[in-house]
Amino acid sequence: MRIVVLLKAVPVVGNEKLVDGWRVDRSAGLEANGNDEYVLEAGLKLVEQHGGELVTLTMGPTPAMEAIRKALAMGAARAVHVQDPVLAGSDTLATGLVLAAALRKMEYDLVLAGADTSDGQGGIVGAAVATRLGLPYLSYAAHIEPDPSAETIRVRRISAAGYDVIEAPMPAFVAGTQLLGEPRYPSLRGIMQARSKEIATWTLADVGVEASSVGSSAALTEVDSATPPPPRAGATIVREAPEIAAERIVEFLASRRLV
Amino acid sequence: MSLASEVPLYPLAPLIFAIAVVSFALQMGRHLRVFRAAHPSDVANRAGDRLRSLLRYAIAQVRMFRDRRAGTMHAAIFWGFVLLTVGTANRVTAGLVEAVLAWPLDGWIWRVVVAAGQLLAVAVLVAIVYAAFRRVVTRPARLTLSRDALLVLVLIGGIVATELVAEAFRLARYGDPYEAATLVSWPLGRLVAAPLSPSAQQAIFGVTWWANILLVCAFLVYLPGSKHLHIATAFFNTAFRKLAPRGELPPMDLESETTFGVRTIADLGWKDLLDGFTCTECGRCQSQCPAWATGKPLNPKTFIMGLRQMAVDAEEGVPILPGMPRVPWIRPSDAPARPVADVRGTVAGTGAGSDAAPGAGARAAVAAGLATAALARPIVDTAMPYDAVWDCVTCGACVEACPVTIEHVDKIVGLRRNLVLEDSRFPQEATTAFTNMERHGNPWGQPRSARLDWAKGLPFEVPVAADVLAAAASSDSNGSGGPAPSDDGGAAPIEVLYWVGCAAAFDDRNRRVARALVTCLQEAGVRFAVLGQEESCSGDPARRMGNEYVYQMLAQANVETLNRYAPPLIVTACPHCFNTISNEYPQFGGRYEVVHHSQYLARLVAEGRLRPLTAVLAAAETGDGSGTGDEGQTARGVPSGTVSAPILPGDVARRRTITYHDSCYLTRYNGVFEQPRAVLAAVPGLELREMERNGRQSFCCGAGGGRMWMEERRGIRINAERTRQALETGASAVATACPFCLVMMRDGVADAVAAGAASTEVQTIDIAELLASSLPSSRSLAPATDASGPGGAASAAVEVEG
Repeated sequence: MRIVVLLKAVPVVGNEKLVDGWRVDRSAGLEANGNDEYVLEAGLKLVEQHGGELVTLTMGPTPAMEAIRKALAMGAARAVHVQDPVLAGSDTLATGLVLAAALRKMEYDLVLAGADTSDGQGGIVGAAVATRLGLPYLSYAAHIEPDPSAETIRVRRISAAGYDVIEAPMPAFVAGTQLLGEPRYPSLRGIMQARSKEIATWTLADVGVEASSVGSSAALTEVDSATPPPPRAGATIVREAPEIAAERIVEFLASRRLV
Repeated sequence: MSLASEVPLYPLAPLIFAIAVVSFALQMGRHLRVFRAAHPSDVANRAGDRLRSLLRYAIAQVRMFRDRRAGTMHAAIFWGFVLLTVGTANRVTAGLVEAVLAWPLDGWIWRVVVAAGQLLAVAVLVAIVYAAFRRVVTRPARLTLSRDALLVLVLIGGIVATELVAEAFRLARYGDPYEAATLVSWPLGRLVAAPLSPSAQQAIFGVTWWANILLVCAFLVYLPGSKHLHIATAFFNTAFRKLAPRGELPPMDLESETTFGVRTIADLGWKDLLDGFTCTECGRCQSQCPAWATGKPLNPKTFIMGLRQMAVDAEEGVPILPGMPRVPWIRPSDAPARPVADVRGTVAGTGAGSDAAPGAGARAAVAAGLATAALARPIVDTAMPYDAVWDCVTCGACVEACPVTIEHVDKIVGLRRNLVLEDSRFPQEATTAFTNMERHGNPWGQPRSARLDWAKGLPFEVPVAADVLAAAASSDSNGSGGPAPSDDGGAAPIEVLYWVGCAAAFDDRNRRVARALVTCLQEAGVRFAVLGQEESCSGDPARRMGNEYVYQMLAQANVETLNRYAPPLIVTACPHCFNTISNEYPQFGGRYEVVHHSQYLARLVAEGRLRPLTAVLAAAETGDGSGTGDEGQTARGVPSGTVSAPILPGDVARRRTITYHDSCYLTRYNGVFEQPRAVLAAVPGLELREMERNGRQSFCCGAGGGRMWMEERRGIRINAERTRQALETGASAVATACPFCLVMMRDGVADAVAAGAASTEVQTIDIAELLASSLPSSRSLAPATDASGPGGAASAAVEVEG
């Protein structure tokens, strides 16, 4: 089975900074997006079970390399990194366009992506890519079960009432959630092996996208302003045994006239 | 006299003895061949220290006397054995030793040797009876009752008894010029042997003499395969012990190692295998181990004995004579891993690890004819269950307890290194800690930008090193205009770098300790600074959880930062940071003067720079319950629930009783014992009550070795046990000098309060908080400080020990 995982490099959670024009600072300190690590783990398990190859696809600036190396250390066979200065400031629409274009140059049975990313939290790039490529789109996956002989994929999709089981022919696009299971921690052995794995760097021209359709000038959305959320008020931590703790909590709520 | 004529068939005796000696040598040689498969151990240094170590641990046996009765018993057997060896040597050389020793001083040397030998022989018999009594009747939990142990006692007892009896009958039959020195056997002979006929005397002498020699030979043949082998190996093991600071884990070259950490016994150093062959199953490690004491599967004794068993398994089938064909009927690859006694939980008998890369050790092993399949077997789940590897708090109580200087902790960390770096196999919770250290530079996962939040709201500014140096540089470039630093005589702008550590930076409870400590520094007029956002985790938790990769990343970055500031002194309140920075950073070229806050505060008090005047007395009302976050905090970091008041003469009734919990990495690893107590003694109103296990024998809080970030699912909780010990003293407060200890003891006390086992008044508190709360400025009631220096009423209240 050939799997491509869409991997985004995001600022370390909690350390996000905005620079000129409300743009997220991506000049340093990037890490693999949390949700993407979960689908990467799911993909690695699928390859371990059914054989095949897992490749990651990233669009991002040079500091994204850190996240790509980690994915390789976790077990991805190789990586594709679409990198071009004109991509800076691209919106989700342009991102979907570029990733779809890159995927057209790759071979796959399954494309995996995290449900959303911790910086933008748009959650629409996956759907955009699937639409552009005409792939079945299976979202909010909690469990992925392929049937390679029938060339179908079955997914447990989280719904308000529990989960739906949906099935689609491969190739397909699956957007996964953290219910897929904790990502592995790369071993040093893996980190060492990752050094000799291939990271192909593709420019915008390589994937065949016009420079005019990407970047901040082509963006259809614009950030007007951003404010950090108000700091949370101090917490009262109750550490006592359950019976006493329950009493304390009731007392606390009563003192605020909440019960 | 002539042994040759007195003993029937005497010429056979030296012959049989020689065969026994050769057997002993060949069996020992076979043990050594396993050593060749292991990594080299560097012991060819510091000869003087090694000799001292040998004298201290193997000859004087200082650690044996911590259990005074067992120590005395052991000393009797040891010295008895030494003299016994002299007698045996004399017998198998037809009296050569006697001839040499009797020659000078008119035979008096020989008389002393004989007399001492006789007295010690009786001492050995008494000791043997006591040892057997302990194993069979009183049965201390730490001792293993095995056939091996009893057989050794029988052999030693038999050897000594037959010597005494044989000598008694010889003297009765033949007499001896030195018979008067034969303090036991001569009177015994007169009493028992004299009434018998010469032929009966001769017969009993012959039988007991031969029994003695044959028992000695049997002992020699039996010894190399027995746990009693320590009588041959302890000398080497103590001389070859780790001389580096105990808190310094072995360095690791991540670029060039072929195997990361320790997977098989071939990945250990040969000194580690010697540890196995030196272990006598005395169980002192087991009896001190907090994990074992709280019902976890970790047992340091069975771990070391398991390693020895693995080494023996690797020898199996190896011919006793080098170069002989392998013994065909023993197939060591099929030999199951032998179970070890005293194991809790299951030791899964996993198959031989087939994926082990054939390194230099394996090649040497093949050359030595060793059982390569047994050598390739992973240690984890053979000598030690997987869970037990993670139960270790690396407190070092086992290492401290071992009379023959066996090092358990470094090996366990070696196993963790292999599990983490090669297999990524560790308790799930550790992932979070690892990732947090990697991404945020602290195991709590708090953003770096929050590193100085603890200092908010203090009545003074906490200086940041970068700002201090920048200010100093700009005032330098301004020429001699501004307030020149020259009034300090050109002193460095930073006198002390306060290494805050992640716990004090991010943990609510420990932030109060940081505030108390800087209050003390400020009060004493110390020119201190902190690194602020430039500080990262020292890496101690990562290193002790086996993640050398993350540790090295953090350590290298910190060494780079520290070298940039080159502080004349680093002070930290965290014993883990203290140990790692002072003992382990030299591996990365970071050499600093580092002291723990207990040491520095004791020094400030001793120098009169800090004057604790206000008594810390028992709380008038219930304290803060020790579990309500930051609510009990005042601006100065003075804990509520402790009442500070001026000293009233004779106000003894309200003295606050306090017990002090020694941190492993402070006391056991780094020998800091007196200073925290000196700080407590300096605070008026406190009465210290020691726990039974204190100082180097302290009992871990349960948070060391990265256990702070792992769940404790097996057995009872270690902090609950330590809290029980603390409460047993009846003290109304538990003082600590370590952020992890503070958290663990606080939680332990809170649980005890909830369970009704402790009064709500019991507090857990860092020594810096106690000191800060007794400083004059902490309450307006305090008398004005006498600025003219030591002396007068102000310093009379300050008492510092040592």
